[in-house]
Amino acid sequence: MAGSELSAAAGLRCGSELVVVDICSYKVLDEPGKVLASFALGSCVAVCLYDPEVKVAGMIHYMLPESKIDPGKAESNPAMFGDTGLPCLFQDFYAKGGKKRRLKCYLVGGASTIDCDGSFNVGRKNVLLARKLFWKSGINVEKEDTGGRISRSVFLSVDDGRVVVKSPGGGEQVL
Amino acid sequence: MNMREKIQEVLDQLPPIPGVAVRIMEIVADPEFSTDELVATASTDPVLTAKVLRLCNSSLYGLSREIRTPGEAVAYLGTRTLVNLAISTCVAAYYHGKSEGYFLEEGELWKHSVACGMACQKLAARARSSMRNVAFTAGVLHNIGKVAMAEFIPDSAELIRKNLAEAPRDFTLVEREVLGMDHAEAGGIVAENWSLPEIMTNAIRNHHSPPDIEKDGELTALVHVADCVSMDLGIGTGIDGLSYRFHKGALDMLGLDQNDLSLVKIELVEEFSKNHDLIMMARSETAG
Repeated sequence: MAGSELSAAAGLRCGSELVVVDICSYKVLDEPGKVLASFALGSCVAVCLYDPEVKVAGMIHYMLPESKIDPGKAESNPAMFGDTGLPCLFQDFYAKGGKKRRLKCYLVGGASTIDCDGSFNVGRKNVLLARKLFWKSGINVEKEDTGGRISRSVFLSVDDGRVVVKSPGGGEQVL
Repeated sequence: MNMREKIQEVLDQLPPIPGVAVRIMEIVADPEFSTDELVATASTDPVLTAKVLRLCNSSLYGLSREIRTPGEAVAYLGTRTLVNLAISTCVAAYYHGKSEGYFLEEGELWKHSVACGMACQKLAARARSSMRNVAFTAGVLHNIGKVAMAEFIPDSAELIRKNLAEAPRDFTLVEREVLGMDHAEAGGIVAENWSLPEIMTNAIRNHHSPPDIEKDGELTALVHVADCVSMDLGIGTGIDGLSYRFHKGALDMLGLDQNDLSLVKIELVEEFSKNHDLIMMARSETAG
């Protein structure tokens, strides 16, 4: 998807360059004109960070909540898990000049299949992990669009910190 | 003509899958199958052989020598790779164009099908299932019904959205109410029209139907769980999203648990990402 395809109504500048944050990865940018994007989150969670003063934006797209299931993978790819990936995201965000006191934090994703007995509830666990970590660290979540049964894509503009969430056939909304 | 009859007409007009693909499925459905017979069968279709060899010789496999025959492909890449490439090449032809009905971008339904095939194979290995050789094929074919259903969805998209918003409902129920048929039943009709082996037809038709999963056995259970894993990862999820009921009985039948699902996800994400170009190349091979 090209940046120009993003709706002007959503406020993301036409012609913005999309920088894709693939599943199990994270990125922190401070370059104007760029938009961080994670596609088709499913049960995965994207955490978006933004500092409006220095215009630093960060995004992670993690797949599973806890790394204890495969510590080796967490070592080689911490962004696969929430508990190892989120500290890396924050570390990079602060290293690029982002400050906790100005931080705007958004939480997106964590959908689930219809699961009567909870065997397939990774989406919920992914969201809870992030909330717990934020609560422990004294970080307020500005807004979130989580849960349900829709697969979301999320965009974060480096220029103004605008967060747009899209879903197939479901339009788009600014968080 | 009502909607169901219109869909039936489209299903009946879907071109048949090459006979060699059906024969390969029949051969590998026998756990004791002969590799020689598989190679001989794959070699009977020169067009398919040429396409499969092109994929084998792509830089993605990184082989230091050229693969010239299906026999060499088996020797250097293994029987399962030969089967998977041959079936993928035959099936990918049906996945061209956007599946606008499900609000999927170009290639997304194909990606979901391959991811489901890979997940099926990984789950089968973990469960030590006797279905290991047919698991990929069943996964890659499980949503063939969506190919035919897709064109009927746009006109009913508003009604479908309304239906989904009311309560957490299985999307197959919504399809049946709005269109008179769900994509799994549609896939079963295609599989019957193509004379696919019975276990394959059952797995396609029943992958969202818990009572039938219990009755059919492992292959249907594998496809059900693999489909949920692929949806969970957001691969090729459209307007239906994750609106499908997960049936834990399928997981129990395979002797697997939540940890297994997480480990399969880890393996799947890595393999899918590593082979993404090959997956899309298999699809473009069919365009020529």
